[in-house]
Amino acid sequence: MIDQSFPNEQEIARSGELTQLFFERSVTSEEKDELLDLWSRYPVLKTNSIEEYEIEQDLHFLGNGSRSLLRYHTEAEHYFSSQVAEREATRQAKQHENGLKKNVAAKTSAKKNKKSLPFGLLVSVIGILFIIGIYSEFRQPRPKETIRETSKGFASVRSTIDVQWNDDASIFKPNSRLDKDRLVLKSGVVEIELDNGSRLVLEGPADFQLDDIQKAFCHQGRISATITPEGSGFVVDTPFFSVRDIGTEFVLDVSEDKAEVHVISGQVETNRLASDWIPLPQDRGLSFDRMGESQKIVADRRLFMSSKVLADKTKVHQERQREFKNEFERKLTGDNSLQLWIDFSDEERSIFSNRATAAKNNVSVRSFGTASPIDSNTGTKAIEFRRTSDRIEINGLEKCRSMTLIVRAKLKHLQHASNVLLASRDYEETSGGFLWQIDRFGRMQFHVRRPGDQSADTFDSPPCILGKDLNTWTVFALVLDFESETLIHYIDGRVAASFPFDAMDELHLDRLLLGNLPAMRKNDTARFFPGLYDKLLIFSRALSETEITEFSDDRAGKR
Amino acid sequence: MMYSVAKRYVPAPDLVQDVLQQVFIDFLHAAVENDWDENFEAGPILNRMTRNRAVELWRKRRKEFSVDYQEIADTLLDGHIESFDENDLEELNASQRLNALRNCVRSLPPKSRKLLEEHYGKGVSIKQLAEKQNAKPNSVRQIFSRLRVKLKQCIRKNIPDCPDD
Repeated sequence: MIDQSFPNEQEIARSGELTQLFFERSVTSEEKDELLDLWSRYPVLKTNSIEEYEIEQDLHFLGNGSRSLLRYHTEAEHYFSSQVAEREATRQAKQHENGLKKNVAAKTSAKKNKKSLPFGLLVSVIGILFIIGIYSEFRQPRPKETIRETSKGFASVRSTIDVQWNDDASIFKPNSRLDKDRLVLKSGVVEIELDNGSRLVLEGPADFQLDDIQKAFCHQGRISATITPEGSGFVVDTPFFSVRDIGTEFVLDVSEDKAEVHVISGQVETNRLASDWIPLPQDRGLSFDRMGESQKIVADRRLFMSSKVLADKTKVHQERQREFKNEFERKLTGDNSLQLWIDFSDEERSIFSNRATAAKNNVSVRSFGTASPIDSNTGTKAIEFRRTSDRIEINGLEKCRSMTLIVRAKLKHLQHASNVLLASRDYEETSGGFLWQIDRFGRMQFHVRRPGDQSADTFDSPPCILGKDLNTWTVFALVLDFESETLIHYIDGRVAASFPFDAMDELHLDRLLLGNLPAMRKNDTARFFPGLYDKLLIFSRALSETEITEFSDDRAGKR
Repeated sequence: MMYSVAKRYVPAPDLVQDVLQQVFIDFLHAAVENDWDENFEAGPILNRMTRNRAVELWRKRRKEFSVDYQEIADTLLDGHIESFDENDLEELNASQRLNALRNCVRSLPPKSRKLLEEHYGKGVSIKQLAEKQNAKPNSVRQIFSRLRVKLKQCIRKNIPDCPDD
């Protein structure tokens, strides 16, 4: 007797087919009717489709979506950590200030009883001046480098050489922190240091997922691993087998057809399909193919990327970068549309002394406050705006219709509502005045005042500056094209957002500011630049995407 | 958790991503305005924000899909929501399920795993996969349907407490 309440094999298969068509968004009217009819006759098929729907969503999420979720989760964590740190800094500053006030009051009262009155008065005055000095210092508490101190993750990118990333959204620069990230590169070399001192060198093409400080998954690529005693037990899974390190050096080479492990020093253990761990000693290797067949091999030391080999490659890479930079600068010097070029790492082009001026075609550049050169971790120079009034004023640039702004900078955090890259002096009031900044959510913003309008036109990108982009050198660019009526935000040569832009007569470049811009009037907004500033270039034309990429290419930078 | 909530109210993976992105921005905005710190219990409010955003997004964007798609989607989502108690956060064990799913995918035969990687990882369409394999698209669709059923069974084995949806 046939059970009429349960579908047969054909009906089950057909329901699966139609459900798949639904996922592909290509279900026709007849197919829709057929599927709904099957569901109404056999509720179990509807249940099956709902379960398939769940798995379908999960598979898409694993395939693409988890990176986005992790990115936003990491951003939220960084934001809260920095808020807590800033509140703590403010609380400590207030405690310190209260402590000083009490001390000075006690000392002043003790000295009043002494016969040497003039001396007592002097001490009081000095004490009061000291308090005023300390109070001024703490009135606007400077945010600490909270992102670096509180950054999560368990590894960092130490260096990259000629890396071409597979996906623009997952680019990791030197000093980027890593936390369960997947690194997918078409070519080049990435050196990763785990927080326990272990070192992994990844050679592309590669697809490598960090799970935690003791675990990773290598889908493809070659890894040279140097594992410290603290990192002993580090496991790398592959589609073919797993490797567990016991404080050693080894190479893992995974391709589509096979995977090999070569033990350079010490010992590893291998495991396939949850069997026992089998030791593999120094100078030995193992190769697995797609069918699961294994073969013992002799370890090939030439495959291992040691520190020395990496250092040699880095030297060659840096030499190429220098050559490119020289050639690039020669080309720039011949470009008539280049209105301004400040390079704080180059003493001939930069301004370091207080109130120094540098004239270039009637353009004056002046610094105010205590902007001074500092050496960053890499020994290169840049400029930092430490006090609230530290800034650079640029006067005398010509008005223009099309323009390109390029800034190379390293942001320490995004705690301010307005983290300004460049602005017109009287942006709040001047028609044609503009403001180019990054908000606390990592959105690049361009605001411009049109004639006769009270409010500004705003052009905001989606959030594109992420936690991993902080404390790394980044090239920001803005291109305004009068001819094609477009405005484009770029980050490291990639388009972050693009907008139609109604042409206006002229943009005012005659009085520009960069750095910290205190609020001059009651309703003005105080704006800051929290980080290091390296280069500023202003062109009176719209550069092409290719030209922007040349600025952002690793070869054009410091490293 | 947010991902689990979102996918119960919008029928397509790209819409789920849009919901999550918007909820994070909304949440950060609200955190600044309300001065929340890291001790703030974000779970319930994130849950609510995600559901509201998801419902709103599907209402706004359903016109982008055919009427036939909308009808099937509404039936699927209604069935999905009926089986789900959104106040019971213990059920929303998304990371456990995703980890189990990841392991189950890894344990599939290489050919099946490659099919999944091509489609979900690299975005290769069913038609293109069928052409590569010299097969009919409907045959490939059946393969995917069977794989999903297999993965569901595998997840159940790996998470004994996994609720039956």
